[in-house]
Amino acid sequence: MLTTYWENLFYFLEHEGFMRIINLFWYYFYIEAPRFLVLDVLVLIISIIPSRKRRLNYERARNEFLAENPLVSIIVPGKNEGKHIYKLVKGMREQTYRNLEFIIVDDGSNDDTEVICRNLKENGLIDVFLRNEERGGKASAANLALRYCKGKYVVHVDADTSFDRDAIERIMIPFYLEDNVGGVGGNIKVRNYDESIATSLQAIEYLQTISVGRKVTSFLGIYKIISGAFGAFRKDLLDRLGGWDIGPGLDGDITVKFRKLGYKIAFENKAVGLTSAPVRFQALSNQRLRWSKSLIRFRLRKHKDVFQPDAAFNFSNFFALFDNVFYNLILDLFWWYYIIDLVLTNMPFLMFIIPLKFMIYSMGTTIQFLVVLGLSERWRTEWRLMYYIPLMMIYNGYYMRVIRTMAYFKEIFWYSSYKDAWNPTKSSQKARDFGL
Amino acid sequence: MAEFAIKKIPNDQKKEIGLISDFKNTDIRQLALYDAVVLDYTDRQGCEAFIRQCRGSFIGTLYLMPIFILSLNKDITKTVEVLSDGVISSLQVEPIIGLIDRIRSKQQNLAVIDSSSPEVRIMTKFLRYMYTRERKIEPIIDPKSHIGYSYPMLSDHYNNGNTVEMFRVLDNIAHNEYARPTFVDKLHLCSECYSSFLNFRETCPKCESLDIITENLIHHFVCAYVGPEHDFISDDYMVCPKCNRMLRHIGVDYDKPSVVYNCHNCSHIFQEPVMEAFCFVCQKRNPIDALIDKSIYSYDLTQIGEESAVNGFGREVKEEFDIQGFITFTTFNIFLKYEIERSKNSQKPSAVGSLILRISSEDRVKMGSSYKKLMLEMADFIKNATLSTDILSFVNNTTFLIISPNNESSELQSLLNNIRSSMEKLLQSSLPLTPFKFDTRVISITGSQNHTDCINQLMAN
Ligand SMILES: [Zn+2]
Ligand SMILES: [Zn+2]
Ligand SMILES: [Zn+2]
Repeated sequence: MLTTYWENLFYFLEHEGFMRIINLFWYYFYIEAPRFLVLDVLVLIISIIPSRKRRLNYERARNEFLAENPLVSIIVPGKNEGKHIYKLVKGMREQTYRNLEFIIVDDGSNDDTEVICRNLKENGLIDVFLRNEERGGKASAANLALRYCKGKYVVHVDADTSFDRDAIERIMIPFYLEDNVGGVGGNIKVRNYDESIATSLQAIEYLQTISVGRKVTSFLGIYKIISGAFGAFRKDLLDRLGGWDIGPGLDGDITVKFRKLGYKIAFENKAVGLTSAPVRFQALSNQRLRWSKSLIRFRLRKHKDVFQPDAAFNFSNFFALFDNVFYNLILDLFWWYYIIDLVLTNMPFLMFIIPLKFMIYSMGTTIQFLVVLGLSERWRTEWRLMYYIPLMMIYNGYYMRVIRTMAYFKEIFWYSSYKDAWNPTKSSQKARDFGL
Repeated sequence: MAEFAIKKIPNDQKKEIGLISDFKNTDIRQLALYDAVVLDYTDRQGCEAFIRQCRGSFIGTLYLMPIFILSLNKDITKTVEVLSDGVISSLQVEPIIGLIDRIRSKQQNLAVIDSSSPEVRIMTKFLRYMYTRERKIEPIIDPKSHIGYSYPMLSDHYNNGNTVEMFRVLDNIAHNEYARPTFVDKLHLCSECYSSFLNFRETCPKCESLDIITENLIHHFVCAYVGPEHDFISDDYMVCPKCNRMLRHIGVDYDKPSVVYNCHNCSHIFQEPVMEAFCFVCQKRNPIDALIDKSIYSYDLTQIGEESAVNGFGREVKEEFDIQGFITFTTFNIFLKYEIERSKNSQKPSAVGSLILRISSEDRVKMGSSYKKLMLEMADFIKNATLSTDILSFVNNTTFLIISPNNESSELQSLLNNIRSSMEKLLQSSLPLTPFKFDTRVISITGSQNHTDCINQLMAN
């Protein structure tokens, strides 16, 4: 029985021929592979070719930065994050860069956060602690921190992120590598990658989409999101913009606003912060629903002017958003057509097509993962994640797609992000009234 | 001349009642010749000074003298009122004669108590006054007093520097159940000088400056801008600096989520200013939690108190300063203060400790003179067990205090433990039926302590 299956499979492959297979999986070969696989490999090759010029330039930028020794304000807005704050500020004391200022904003916490932070402040571990008795939402908390910080640069971090010792130093250097850099995104990895299957899969996903994916978009000049968990900004530019706007997705939003001002956004994969990923699929689904809704709200609604050919039109901004909208929204909807068509037209061969698709996808993922390891500073621990690669097809190919599609429909037709408890209703109401 | 200062007031009962109007020329010693005196309130200040002089005396016939005030409109100060036995508006003295008789007859019950200890004399006076007047002693609000309250008969014996001792006498009275305390008020006093003349003020947590201002924060919902109120002020309107929209309606467009403080001296931003209490008397800047909390009570004489007022305090109180080689509590306090000062500049360890016998006051009264004997035995033992450089004091009939200038606190602790176990054996054999318990406490002396805090810790229940 089994042997006949394999015989039939090989017969199928032989019979169908190479081009036929490619055409059968056109979605993967024509759309996904060139954008993700090929570009990844290219960027890896460029990055690992030793370049004396690049190295010297980096050294110069680093020396310039250390000689200037600017004050860097670390701002941590959040609600009920008290339990993470102690670890965060203790960890920050280990940073190689010392001229730091800590500003914690407690956005109406109803747990022990206030007590913890007041205590840390008394002990001199925090420079400024501000609490809003009334919750105002993440953006307003970040803006309050911004209003009172004194640094030349502002590093926005999430309370549950922890950092490599040189992370702050590394994230500042791109400001000195090139002119006109307005913001730098840090590299975010999953700290609890071995806690559950969900976290292991997210760890792979983060490595692919952040560590490598953002390096690629940054390389192409279309890098578009500095994550709130770890991002550095020029304070003068944040002040010019009046800080963050109402979220969710405020980190993507602020990045677009920087680009619109005409400043570059850089990604520094050597500046590493670790975050805790949701352990259960349920929590992960909720998180991703929220993230995906913001694509509609901010890319398509709030910043739709990027797609309009007027005086402020800028190609790289256009491509940055186009890439995002095209791959995440349009192709996502297109994919349903592709998969339904594939199933319906090839009904008798499904038992061959499914394993074949699985093999091809896993091979692609493996190559991508090798690129990840090639660029990573901690590949010695990360290579073990290879065992989970076979599950990535289901994770990326089906699970995430279903979640994204649900989010798009909810947001397009029901403006569901405005009802999200993530913001207080007073802010959501205003945002909706003004179409933000 | 003095003879003319006191005029006799004629009356049916043939009582010797004197009227005094010219206070400057009256010698209070002459009062002893009268059954009672009436003070003319025309010279208000003279009258008040005079009555305080009488009640401030240690001579029983003076401080217990029935004193009345002659005032037509009865408009007299609180101090004069509580120190006197009544106010009359004419020289018709018949209505007060009954009261005079009662006071005088109670006065006759009093045995002679002869003590050189000022503390015993003050306690005796306090209790005897209550006894003869059948009156509770209530603190009166007194802005001129160091603590804001004064106790008739008591406060005049203590100047500003000695407030601690006044409280100790009152605690002693309550602790020994001579009088029943009833809560009146709670005071917060300067940790240095016990004054309650304090200015509570907010300071910058970083630089302690007083020059801080507070401002509301405003959150503009639509653009998520948050900043202090002054960011929004533009001529007559409130305009958001980020989105230029006008603020119209609190709760709808914007709200005020909290306030911030801004230090003009060091430009620190904060929300919790540090409160301090500045003392107008000694100018100490007290942190709030360093202030001394003291409850103020009124006092009612108890049965034990009445007994002690009449016959004295058994042997117990009187003897406490008389054990040879033991210094008074006041002196002990001074030594402790010096020891704390000394340890600031010295590497040598030193410690202070206490050994307290817990035994009910009834049992103590029952034991009478054998209690004193026991205490003397204990004192002897302690004297022999300690070094000649150690400073010893015996307080409240129950508490031995020791400063050990050359010992680590652990050494002092083990010394006290040894003494304790010997004492326990001694007491178990001599008082097999009486429940008792010893407490020991040791504090190692560092230069940063406050001697009153140490004492309170050592003597706490
Ligand atoms: Zn605004
Ligand atoms: Zn200050
Ligand atoms: Zn004072």
